[in-house]
Amino acid sequence: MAKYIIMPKLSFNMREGKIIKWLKQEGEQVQEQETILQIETDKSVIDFESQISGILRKIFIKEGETVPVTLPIGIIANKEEDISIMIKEALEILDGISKGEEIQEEIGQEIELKREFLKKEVQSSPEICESVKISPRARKKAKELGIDISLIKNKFSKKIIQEEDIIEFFNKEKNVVIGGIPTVKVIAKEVPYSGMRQIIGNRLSESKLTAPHIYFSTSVDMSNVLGIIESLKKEQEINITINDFLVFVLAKVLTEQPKMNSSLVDNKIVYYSSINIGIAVGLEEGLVVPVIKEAEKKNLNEIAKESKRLITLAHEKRLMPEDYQSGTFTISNLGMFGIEEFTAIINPPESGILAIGSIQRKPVVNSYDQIVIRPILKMTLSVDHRIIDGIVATQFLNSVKKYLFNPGMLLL
Amino acid sequence: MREITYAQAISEAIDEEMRRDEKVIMFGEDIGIKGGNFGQTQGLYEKYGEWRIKDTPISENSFVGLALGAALTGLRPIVEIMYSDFLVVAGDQIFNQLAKIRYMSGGQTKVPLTLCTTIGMGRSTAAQHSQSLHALVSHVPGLKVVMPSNATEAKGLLKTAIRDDNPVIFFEHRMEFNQKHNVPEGEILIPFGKANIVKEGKDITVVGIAREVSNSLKASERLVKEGIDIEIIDLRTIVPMDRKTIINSVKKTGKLLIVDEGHERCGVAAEIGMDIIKNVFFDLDLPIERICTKNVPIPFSPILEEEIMPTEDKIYHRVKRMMRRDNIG
Repeated sequence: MAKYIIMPKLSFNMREGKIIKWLKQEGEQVQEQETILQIETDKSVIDFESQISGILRKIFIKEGETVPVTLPIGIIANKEEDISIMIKEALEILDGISKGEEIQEEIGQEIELKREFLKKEVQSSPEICESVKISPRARKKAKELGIDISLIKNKFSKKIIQEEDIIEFFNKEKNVVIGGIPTVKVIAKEVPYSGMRQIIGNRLSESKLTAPHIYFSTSVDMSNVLGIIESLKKEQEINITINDFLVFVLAKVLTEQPKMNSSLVDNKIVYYSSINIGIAVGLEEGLVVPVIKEAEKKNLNEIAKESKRLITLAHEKRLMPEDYQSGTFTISNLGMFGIEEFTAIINPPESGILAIGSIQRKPVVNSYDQIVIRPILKMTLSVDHRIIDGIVATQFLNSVKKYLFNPGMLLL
Repeated sequence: MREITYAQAISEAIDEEMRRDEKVIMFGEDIGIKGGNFGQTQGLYEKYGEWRIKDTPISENSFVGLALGAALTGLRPIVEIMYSDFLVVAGDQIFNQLAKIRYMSGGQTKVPLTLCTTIGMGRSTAAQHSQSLHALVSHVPGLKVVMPSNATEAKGLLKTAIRDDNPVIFFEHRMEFNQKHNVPEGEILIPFGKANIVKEGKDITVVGIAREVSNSLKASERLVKEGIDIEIIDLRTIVPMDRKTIINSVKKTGKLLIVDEGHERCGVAAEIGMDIIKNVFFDLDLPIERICTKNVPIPFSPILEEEIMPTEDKIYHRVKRMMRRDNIG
């Protein structure tokens, strides 16, 4: 049975379509469901499938030409079928359009009726839908198998997702195996990504994605620092932690090398005169970084007291905004948890962060070529390479190392 | 096993029931000396005589009323209306009397009446002699509606109908009368309200009514060769309807096609489809589909007749389309 191929109305607003390419030529056999041409709409290029099988007997609209929707662009018919009347009819309609005549007035009702008829044909054919449909049975199956259907929707090229698609997907996924054992992700619970978690996440992403990080690691012999801490505790009953000592050293080095005490803000590199050192504190809810302000003006005892106060407040969740704002450099210490070394993400908009590992007793070769056991601390400096070069970072880290190895230098 | 025609099976059922129970009598046009318009009462007139096999004038309203009166007074009449198109001639008797008396008498009277009539296209008998009006009577509470699909089914269901104490409308299919079938010897009684899974399958549930069961079976033979395994259910009776068998089948396959020769609009397929949506929605993997007769008066032209009615070929193509899902939606 001969049928027109109609320029389809693929979206509500579509008024006309352009033929990009005929994939079949006149006289070729086409199958039902076979893509026969590509049509460009105002939005995209769409493959057009034939609704029937037959021979593509006639093409009215050539590649590159544009025609209003619902008008005939070709004819599919049987081999022997007489389609002369259909051709005449279609040409009359298309002629009217190409001459720019007002269809309603000049050509009259007859063609309007034909257009209505053609429109109907289009409507009865399967619509090209933009969204993927999921059968109730497929949804049920997905739930049963613990598959989040919204996540896999895009993985299907089909217009309807049915049960077998879900099963196929499930089988494919579970074949991603560890040690040959099929695994399925079972969700224990879902927690919204919001509040503090989201703020932390956003800040760290911003840092890592905008500031190119480079990392510098070194080891330092902490014998002398530990000796001082020990004697202060014994003689003066003053509790100084390694971290307090590190903050004290950092304040000194940052005073000497102010390039590290800087930020890149709004296309300006800002150097700070005050040295405000943030201490990363891990809580169950997430990370907080209270700040020891003007560390360069504080002595070791003052730093220890301020640090203790801030950490206590952090654990009691009583930090005020002024307690964690305006940091210029951060220290993150996981030494007390036995981590040997790690790298940290810069706390924006600062330009550097120092990651501290644990002190480990290790054999080292001393200046007399003897192997001795020493308490060794590993630390890794992350800097924002946009504003800090390797040489600056190296000098900085070497200074820190120098003061830690020989704390007497702090007195000079 | 012996082979007899659908018409012979019906005649046999009536014969056995008349022999078994002398209260069974029959009224209708041309059922006596002629032996039935389609040969379905051959030999009964000679055997039981004109008192039990009664030819009537062309006056459906009168003789249905007559049969109803006989039923109320203790007989067990079978009454024959040649074409289901003529059911409406006896409309008041059927819809308002036959269907209601048992209810309105508070159950004091039984109405053990079987009304046989015929449906079906394929004989070019045009708009007034081709309709399949089983949906029409199914709509009216108080009537049982039976749709046999072959000779064995016809015999077994007719015998059950005759023994039923309620009015039963029994629809024979005109294209089936000459079809032969292996009908077992001896007593066959098929209960109402129990659909028959004539072929088990896993891909699509196809519910057939009357002749569409054999059309579905023929389509299935072609489909099997293409790896498509349909499950075919013979509904057998519209009232009472065995919803459970369909529900269980659709739970298994997720897809349902209903084939019925009645007109599509407000037809039995719509009733089944609605029921399935309500009960098995979350098991459906595709929209429910139906093949029925198009909503037009039935044409005389054999070509046009073929165009509007369900056929084996249409079932075959529809099932294929349903299996090639990207076609839809």
